[in-house]
Amino acid sequence: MSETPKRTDICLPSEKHVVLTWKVKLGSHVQQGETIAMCCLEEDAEVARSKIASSASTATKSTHKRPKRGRRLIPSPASIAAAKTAKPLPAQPIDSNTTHNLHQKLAERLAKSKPSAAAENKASDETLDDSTPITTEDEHEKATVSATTKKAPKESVQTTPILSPVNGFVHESKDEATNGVIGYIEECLHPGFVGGLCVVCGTAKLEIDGNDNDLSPNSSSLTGNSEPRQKNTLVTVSGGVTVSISQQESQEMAKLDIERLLGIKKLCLVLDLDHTLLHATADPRAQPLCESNDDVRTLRLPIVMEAQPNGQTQPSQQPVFMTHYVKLRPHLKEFLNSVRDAYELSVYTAGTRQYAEEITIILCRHLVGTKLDMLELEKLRYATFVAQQEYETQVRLEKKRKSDSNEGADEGGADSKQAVKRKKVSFGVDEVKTYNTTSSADANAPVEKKTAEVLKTKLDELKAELSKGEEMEKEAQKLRQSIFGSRVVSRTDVGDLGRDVKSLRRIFPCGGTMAAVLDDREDVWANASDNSETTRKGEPPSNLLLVKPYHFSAFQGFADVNNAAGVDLSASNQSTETEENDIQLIWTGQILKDLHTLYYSQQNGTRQTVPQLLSRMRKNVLKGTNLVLSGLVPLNRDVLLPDAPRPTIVRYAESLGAQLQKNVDVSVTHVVAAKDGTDKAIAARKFPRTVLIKPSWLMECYWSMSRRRSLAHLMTPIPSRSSSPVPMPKPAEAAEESSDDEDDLAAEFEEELMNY
Amino acid sequence: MFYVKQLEHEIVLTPVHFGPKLKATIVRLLKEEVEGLALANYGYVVNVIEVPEDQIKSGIIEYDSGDVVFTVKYTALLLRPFINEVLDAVVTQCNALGFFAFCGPLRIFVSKHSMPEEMFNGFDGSKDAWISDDKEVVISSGCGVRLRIKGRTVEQGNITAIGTIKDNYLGQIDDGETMES
Repeated sequence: MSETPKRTDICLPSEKHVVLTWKVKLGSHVQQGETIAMCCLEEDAEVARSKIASSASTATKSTHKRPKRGRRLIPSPASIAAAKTAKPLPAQPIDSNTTHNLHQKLAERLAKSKPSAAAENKASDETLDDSTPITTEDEHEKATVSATTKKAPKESVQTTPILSPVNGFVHESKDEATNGVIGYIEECLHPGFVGGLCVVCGTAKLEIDGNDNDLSPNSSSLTGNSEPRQKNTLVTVSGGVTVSISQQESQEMAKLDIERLLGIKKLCLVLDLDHTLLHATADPRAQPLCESNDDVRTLRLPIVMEAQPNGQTQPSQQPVFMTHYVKLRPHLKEFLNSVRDAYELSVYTAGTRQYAEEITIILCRHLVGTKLDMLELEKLRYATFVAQQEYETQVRLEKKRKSDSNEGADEGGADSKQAVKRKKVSFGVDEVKTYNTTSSADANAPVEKKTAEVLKTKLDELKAELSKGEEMEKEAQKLRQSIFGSRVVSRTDVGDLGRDVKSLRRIFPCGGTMAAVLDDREDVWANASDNSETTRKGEPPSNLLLVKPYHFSAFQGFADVNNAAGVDLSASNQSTETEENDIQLIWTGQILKDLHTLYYSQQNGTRQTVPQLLSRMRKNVLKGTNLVLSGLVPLNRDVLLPDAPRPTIVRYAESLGAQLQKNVDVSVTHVVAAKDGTDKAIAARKFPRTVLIKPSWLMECYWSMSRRRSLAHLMTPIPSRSSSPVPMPKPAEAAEESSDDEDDLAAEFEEELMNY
Repeated sequence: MFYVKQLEHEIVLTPVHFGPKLKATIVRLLKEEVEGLALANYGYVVNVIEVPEDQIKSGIIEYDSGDVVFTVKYTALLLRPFINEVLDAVVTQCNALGFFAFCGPLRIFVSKHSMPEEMFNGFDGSKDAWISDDKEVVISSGCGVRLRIKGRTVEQGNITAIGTIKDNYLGQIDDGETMES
């Protein structure tokens, strides 16, 4: 940005004055009227400086003084309990007490911090001009005193405070002070806003994002357009807070990001969850699948209760949990493993934040190969605990029994006592056993069999399982942090965007030149107004890698948790193709691998961005093919304005590099038909080199970004010609076909009409 | 800063609540409604300290609904951030733009521009932490910082504040490891 901040000079009261001390740290922000520095007459400077030096308040060269670090004290449970019981006290005493206590605490804290501050500053040097003294509490007081009385209390030196004329950042003049100018105050550029406040100076937001139509001749002639003076971009940062940052700031951010990514040779990948990596449902009918299928996981999420507006209903203390069932897409593990070294993964989902967080940890558990979630781990922990108790009781018992029997040899009378004891004890063991959740079968086993050894082995088994589970969990958590970090954006984070909009700029303020996006819906990306620069308005950005929406057949008909799946234009072999044959993630993994190698094999100077590369990769897929679409695009949409969004299937075909034609002729290689029997489909059979194919082929090409073999997608030939496979009829036959042209066609058409 | 102040609030009750426990119900509802709320001029209501019974005025019937409106005076412990106040907060999230810290219910954002120069470029994305050039100060989620409030707003019952740690003796004060006292 060409914009330079406004500067205001800081002047000394007269030429005879010199700066004694700066009251604020150079480069920090000051408010109007704040004391910036203290100055005095030149002849008094030496005295004043020595005084200040002796009172140990100057700092060494402008480094940042760090506070003393300690350990945080948390109150012991006992004191909390005491505080709780002491709560219902009459108002008056509490009132004074609390305020009094607070004051006292504050005073104590101040008293504590002062001596340490003073001690740290003992080592001071005298060069004041370019040093930054710190403002301790005493000094501040002194300053205010001197400001009012114009006289330092103990010294006879007259010091004058310099007050800040405006809000801004204090800077010192680099060269010698001229005309009493010792520095300048730079206006804040407001690089970003959080909750309507400038992140730097804390002033409330001015009208600068879009509403400010600064059409002054100066700015518009310079930039050549009517853009507002400063356009802010909204960025959703980790944790779901949306920060509005200025263009300059976002460019800087993007630059840093790009440098970092280039440094570690990675690219970004934004992942969608539902129907892309998994299929989730909250339908309880999915419960039985959980046990039978290894890839079905559960997660429990609290249901957010909408508060009643009038506050009549009591908010429920116990949140209601709902179990969600999640089926992971086949090959997910291979996919994640293959991309995670080359890509920095982010999650952008239409689900809630909690859902997204839970899913990421489930993904990581899947990666490390454990199925235990927190709840199961807790169960296991409890089982181990019970087993431990049981074992200890048993050991104690046996010991006791042994000693008892020894005693029993001496004293005959102990026998009956022992019997009673045994009875009691065995009852106790039984009780413990019923609590044991691990195996109900064992509980019925005779008590006598549970010797210490048996219990010991069981305990050891449980312990081993537990420690393994805990280790895995730890590993998964670590993995989650390293793979996804805090790069999780959910619907709840970007509530202002609406339900079906995903904006790339929210994650990458500069449009994501190094990011690929994986999603099963493109409309959500197309809906955002600011996603695409290269593509037409209303079309998704080229960064998007569309995947086939994943449906787990067993969840078929159950309600989706979050948003619906993308439109599956292939509308195809849903039934014939079982989910476990779904190899979309393998395709995608391959595409991403290629993309990464392509990106980093480029020359540094002429680097193409990810969207450009992806467009290029797509263009090669169906290069040299001439397509005719039939029954897929409404005829009246053939004539289009140049920048209106194209029908999806047309866009797919064109982005894959295919040439679209309106009518079938010799040069046409493929006719993509929604159904057989259309004019174009029939015409296609006339030409030997023309293949009549289902749209699923085009979709698969698009999803896999490779030329799929057409065999599986061929339109089944109509009965009369079923003998000859359509793609490559013999030349003779073809010639024959082309000769018995119109009549045949008309007859056929007539026949068809008759049938209706 | 915490302070104690007497405030007023209106409670609307349906006739179902009328009975011997009326006053207790009013107090309960008052606590439910105001505790945790951020009032524009007074800050967060941390706790309703006392509701003097004689200060609950007799209610007025609303003829439209049959509900009764009680005006209740109560003493509340309030938390209000003041500009240039220095306070201790716990860091909850770090991101490339800065970090968020909480002081009780109050959320404070500290931008990277408000950090000392030695930390300005110190964001580590893999650890989600702000690290000073000499690697001595690591501000990550969970650690305590001392900061100065530079600005605040109240919106929809929530206060957002902007803080700075770009001054002497501001910055990290503990690593977030707690110890029982």
